[in-house]
Amino acid sequence: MVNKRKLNRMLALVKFHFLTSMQGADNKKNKKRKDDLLGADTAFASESIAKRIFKYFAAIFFSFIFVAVMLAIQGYGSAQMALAQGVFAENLTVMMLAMLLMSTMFGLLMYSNVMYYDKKADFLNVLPISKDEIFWSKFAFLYVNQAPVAMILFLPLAYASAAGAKLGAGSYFILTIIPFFIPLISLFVSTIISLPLNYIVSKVKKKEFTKNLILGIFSALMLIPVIVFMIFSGGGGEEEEQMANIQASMQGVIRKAAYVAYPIYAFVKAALFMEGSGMMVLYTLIIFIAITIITIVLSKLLYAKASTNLEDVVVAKKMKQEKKPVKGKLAVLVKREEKRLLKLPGNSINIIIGMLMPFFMIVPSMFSVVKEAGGIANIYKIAIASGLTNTVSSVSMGMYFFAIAMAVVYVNISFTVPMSSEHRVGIDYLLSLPISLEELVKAKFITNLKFSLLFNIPIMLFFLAMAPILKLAFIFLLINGALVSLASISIIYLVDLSKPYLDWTNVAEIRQKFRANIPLMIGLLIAMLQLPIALPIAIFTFQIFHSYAILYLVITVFNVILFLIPFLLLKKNYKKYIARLQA
Amino acid sequence: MILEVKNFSKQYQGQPVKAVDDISFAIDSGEIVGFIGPNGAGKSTTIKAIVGINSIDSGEIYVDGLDFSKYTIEAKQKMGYVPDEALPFDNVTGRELVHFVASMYDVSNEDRDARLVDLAKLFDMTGVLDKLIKSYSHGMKQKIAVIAALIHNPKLWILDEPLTGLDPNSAYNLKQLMHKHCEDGNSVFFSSHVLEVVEKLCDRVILINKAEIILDCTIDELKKKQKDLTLEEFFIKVTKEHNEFLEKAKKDDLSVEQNENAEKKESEAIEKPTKEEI
Repeated sequence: MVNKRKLNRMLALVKFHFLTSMQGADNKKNKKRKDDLLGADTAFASESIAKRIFKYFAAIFFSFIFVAVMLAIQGYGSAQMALAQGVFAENLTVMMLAMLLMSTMFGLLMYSNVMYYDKKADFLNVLPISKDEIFWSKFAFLYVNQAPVAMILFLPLAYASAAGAKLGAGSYFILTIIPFFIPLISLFVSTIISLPLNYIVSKVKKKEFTKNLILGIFSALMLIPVIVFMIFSGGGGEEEEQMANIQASMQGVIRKAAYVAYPIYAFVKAALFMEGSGMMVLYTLIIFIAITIITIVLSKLLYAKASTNLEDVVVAKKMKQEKKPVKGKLAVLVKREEKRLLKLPGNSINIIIGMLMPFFMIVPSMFSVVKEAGGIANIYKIAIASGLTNTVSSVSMGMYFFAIAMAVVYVNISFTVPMSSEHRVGIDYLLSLPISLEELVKAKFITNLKFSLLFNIPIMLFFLAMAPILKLAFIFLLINGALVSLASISIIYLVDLSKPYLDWTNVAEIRQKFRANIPLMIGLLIAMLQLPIALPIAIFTFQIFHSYAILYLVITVFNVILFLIPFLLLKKNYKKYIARLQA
Repeated sequence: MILEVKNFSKQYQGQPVKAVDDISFAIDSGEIVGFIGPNGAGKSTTIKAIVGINSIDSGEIYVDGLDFSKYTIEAKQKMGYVPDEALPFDNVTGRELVHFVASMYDVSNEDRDARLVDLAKLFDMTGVLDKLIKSYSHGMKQKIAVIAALIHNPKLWILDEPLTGLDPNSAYNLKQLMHKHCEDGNSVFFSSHVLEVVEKLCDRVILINKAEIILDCTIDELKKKQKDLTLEEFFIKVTKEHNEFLEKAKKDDLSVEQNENAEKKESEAIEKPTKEEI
């Protein structure tokens, strides 16, 4: 009887964690007038819990499906060759390790917030439930929350690789088991990371900012092995023989790397029914028991010590009596927006990921180019010897436009809800001040554009370093980077201003809404479209004319059109959207 | 005694002074006790320690005879708490929140449904229970917090500024509910800044100022002390006197310390042999 009560309480707690982390369910019953796109926001009838859960997981699905499909295609493509070389298990394991790092990276912020920095803490502490019960309910919630992410990331890759290697039904079954223990590994890694994180955050004054910054750094560090893997598995790309040679030389590295993800390696080998895999699975179970115990013990210790007070400590600062000129309103608003954006949870991580993402695209092809030329020094020698003309390969030229577009899109994830993230209370407060909404929107637009262009500098510098002589290309690269930024930001504002979501509790919930992902999806489409346009034109026109002029022209015109469409739509409806916000 | 606080002290990390300094008080069954004091006096710290949000640095808290530090869960079962801030659960409906709280207090389905109907009717929330809390006004959020705190019919109600944001009807109904609750042998302990409400509603009043309890008496005793002053004027007078007392004590301590240091230096100077003596 007591156990049944405890179980019911635990289930109620886990359910409550889900309910409070899901987006609000809008009132669909009220018929909206055609021009009343703001919707009836005075009273929301609740959708059923099942519907809310469905929408919650649908949002997760759409967030990860793109990456999952990309990797699945790569898995399918490399399966046959890897099998022939006898490194299929190792190859698949390393790819899955990359996915594990990605899923851990995405789950890290949620883990930290739910486990140690939960805003529900005071409320839960009052209830007649032990800290143990609260802890276990959070643990269960995090596991169940991570499981779909693991499914989406791992299963397409696993099945596509199995299909590519023409494995049997039994292999598919064993591979299906892998995503079920991935969340546990992610929780283990997150717990280990939380040890230094919580310690540092407890010592500083700006806790929220420090926490987000450290999480961003750790997330970026987790991406490094993924980038390294992309270098070694991508290689030269174009020629099968070249790829096979590179992969053959990397076999040793891949075999060693597979042991880093021993549990995954064991199950992948078991899926191939390889000799010795049975013992490996047994060791894996022992490892899992150990990981689980360590995770639980450490998490409990950290949970007991965790402070939920994340408010910045108010420190009386001495104001400098400097005679500074009074800044214009726009400058003040821009400054405000910069600080606000960097403080939003998850933004610092998204910005770091956005900065690193284009390296995924560029590094593999640049690596092979450098290798072919015999080193970076030789590239410079060749460029100088050819009279300082553009000696970048046509593939790299085409890839760059794609990479810069992807960089813009990923950095702009941080800016997808510029008005919504202010909240109704924030907007009302700003409206009470002597500033107009137009000034506010303008300041936000400028800030977003500034960040979007600024954070693409690392990839541009990298490209310049690898391909030193660009001349006119450099100007067109800058122009197109700016055009894609403008297009992406215009889409963001068009979507958010047309239907802002201003009544939220946790800013993370507005990112979970499907609408918030529309700019990302369109942005990805814009980025993907760069490749089939830029790459063939680069290759063919350079072959014929020994010049990229046509490429520059075509891609620039294309990006101008892509920018003008959302921008003109936004300009046309701008006054209407602003008037609605003020209503 | 339904609630006993003995020599409770609390000092937040990094703060030079204690938030609550060695306070003691008790609440008997059937009492409505008002807890008043200026901002930053220590009211919320005390209340949060009683309900288990804050830890206890020193002292003891007993809830219905149970030592809070040893029988925490059992003690919490006997209390219902309404915080002064709105609950951060905009994505759940009122009904879901109340059901969740009821589950935590092991309230049976029949009991919770029946009580929810009654409480929702009393606070005029029947029509909005199935709407998301984010659509509620401030007053409605306060009401749902009150309903959630009372769903398990606790012996002791701990309410932190419960009347803030409530419309007159709901405020009246809550006050009536408090009376009835105490008539049934239970108790209410609530903090408020509205002194007129405290004066009319409470059996006893406890005044805290700068981490210390400076007044703990029944309303009748308070009226005798007030004389011709209103409660507000009396409150200001008492806290002002206490502040002056603390200032004076601080200066006295300082001058005592200075005197001691001066004496010490003098005695050192006397003891130290001169060069000629050497």
